[in-house]
Amino acid sequence: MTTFDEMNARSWEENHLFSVLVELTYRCNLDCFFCYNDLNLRGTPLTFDEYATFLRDLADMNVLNVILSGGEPLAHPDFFRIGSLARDLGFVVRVKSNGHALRGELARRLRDEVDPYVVEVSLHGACAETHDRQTRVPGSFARLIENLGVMKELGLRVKVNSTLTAWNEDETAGMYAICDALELPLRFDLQVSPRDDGDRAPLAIAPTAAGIRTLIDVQNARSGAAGFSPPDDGRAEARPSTKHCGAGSAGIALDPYGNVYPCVQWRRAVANLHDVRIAEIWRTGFDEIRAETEEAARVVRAHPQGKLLNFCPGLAEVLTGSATRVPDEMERVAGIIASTS
Amino acid sequence: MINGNSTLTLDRRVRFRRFEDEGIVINQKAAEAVVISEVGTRLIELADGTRTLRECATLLSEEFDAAPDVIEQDVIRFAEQLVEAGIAAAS
Repeated sequence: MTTFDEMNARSWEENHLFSVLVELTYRCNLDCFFCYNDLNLRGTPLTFDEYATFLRDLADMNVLNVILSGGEPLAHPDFFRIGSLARDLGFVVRVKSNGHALRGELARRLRDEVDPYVVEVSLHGACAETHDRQTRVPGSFARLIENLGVMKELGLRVKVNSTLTAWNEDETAGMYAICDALELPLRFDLQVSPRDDGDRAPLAIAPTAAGIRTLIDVQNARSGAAGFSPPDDGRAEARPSTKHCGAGSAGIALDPYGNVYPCVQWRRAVANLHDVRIAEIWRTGFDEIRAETEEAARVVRAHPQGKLLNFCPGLAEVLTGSATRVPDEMERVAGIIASTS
Repeated sequence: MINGNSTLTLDRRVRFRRFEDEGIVINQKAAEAVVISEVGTRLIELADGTRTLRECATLLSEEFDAAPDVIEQDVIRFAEQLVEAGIAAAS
């Protein structure tokens, strides 16, 4: 019998679209310093009817996961119509939200009308000073902590994500303590990304070597701690594969203006939904991307730091101009990780 | 007691997708993913809450060229497993 991980891995090899990330809007009720969205991007927003056609096409293609993201996805005026249609069409719906508005009636509606598999929220520090410095909205930390409790009480499954930065790297133990108290899983990303328009300003708060080592020490001290493992969103660990990742092979991303990308981090638009239906884009638009993910796999295998690189072709393309060239920043982080093991 | 006259309906919190010949069932309540065999996948597609398990078994026996009575027993056993796992309800 095939396992779920094997099936996920097969989706990469056989180009079976498995997960679709939908950026519904770039509007947001927070103003995060390192937000990667290109707020200057312009275009004609997709209408509800276009989203409905898109989702029905994806259901016909047997796509499993739909991730509603943003900006803040709940800021889209049709969020609940789109979310409940995705539920009715049988998708596993994930919602990536900053959590700021997820309380009271809105949180109840999310549970009842969208029934997400998981709500992923971002925590930027263990105290208001650090978290609110990142979000640039006073009171956002206190409100998030309160809302996490509300969501949990409502029975929503919540996962907490955090990007390690120079601002929060001394607070990782405290962030774990907050999540432990709420019985929520917390996952750190070690890589601060440039903005989608190439602006590298966010890299100014990339974590220091000491901060990365501290996080690894904290995680090692916690190893064995329990946490749930939701279905993968396209970056499966189950390999071997001829491809480095599932970008354009098992997953895609869509921006609010209909541009279709191989991945949320790989901002090379291959087509636009205003012009072409997704089935046609999937059939004809990703050959080049898939070849590059195969080349990326060869590059990573040949690199002395190998998997420690946490290589991302999309991020590499922004940082170096090539999706198969390893950026210095990835080597720096991999070197720090290697030095701790 | 599930029998040939029973009908099967997936739980409203369960998600199902075909993947080539097999299927994936995600039980959102339990946070579990289960891969279903080719025949099981086809049964879930046929069991729409109106067809009885016997009717499903008849269709499956034609599609998979197997004896209807043998298939019906397999279908009932599989339905019992789905109900026990909280994936479907029988009526």
